[in-house]
Amino acid sequence: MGEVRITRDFPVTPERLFRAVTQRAEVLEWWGHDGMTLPDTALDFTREGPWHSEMRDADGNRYRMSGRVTHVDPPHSVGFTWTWHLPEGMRAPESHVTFTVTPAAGGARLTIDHRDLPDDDRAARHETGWTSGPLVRLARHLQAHPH
Amino acid sequence: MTNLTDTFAALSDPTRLAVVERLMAEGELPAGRLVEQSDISAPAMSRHLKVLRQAGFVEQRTQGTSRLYSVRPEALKSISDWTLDHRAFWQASMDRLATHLALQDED
Repeated sequence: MGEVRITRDFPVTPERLFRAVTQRAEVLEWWGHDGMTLPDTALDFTREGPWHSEMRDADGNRYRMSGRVTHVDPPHSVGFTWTWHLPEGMRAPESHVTFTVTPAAGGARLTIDHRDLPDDDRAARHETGWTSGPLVRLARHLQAHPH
Repeated sequence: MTNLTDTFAALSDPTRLAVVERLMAEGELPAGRLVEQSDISAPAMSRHLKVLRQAGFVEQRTQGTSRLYSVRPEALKSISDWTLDHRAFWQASMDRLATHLALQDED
């Protein structure tokens, strides 16, 4: 929840890095946590439109997320919306992700920005009744009290 | 690992979520205290606590004649790690992207 920015440099050209973070076959190689499988995904960030992904862990838990690619500007940046689909039909509020690729010393830099969307947050809460509100409160509580 | 479907089903009820939030804020509490500050009956609270225990969300221990309830940190951590912590998701992904690009270079 909130705003997340993560930056890392890679020893490849910006063009190579942009392909790795947008083309389906390559995104499948790194998307998500270690040990996850991706049985059902449509992770093509080379064009605007819908995407979705389902991850499965070793215990069979399923994690589904989806959204819409909002802009593609090769080899500089790509943006998409993001919603977790929780079990029992709950949906977390929609958020927005941007991948930005810039030249860096010795290679290319990837900056990932993940931001809440306040308006869509309210819209999602309206659609799902109370379900997303309590989850948001719980997440904030966990952030404030991590132990 | 906690079963996430059970975890979320257990939370998909405002009374149960309120119980979890209260136990997180105040620590271990006897069932009686949970009933006092809610508008539901003791048997109803007992049923809610059973659901939360079965989902691995709270644990119960007996002290004398009272049963004390507390939140299991493992259940909270599974939610925070896997579904709501964007930073953890992207950091894990960046690690794997670095490995992927390194392996591609060797080809």
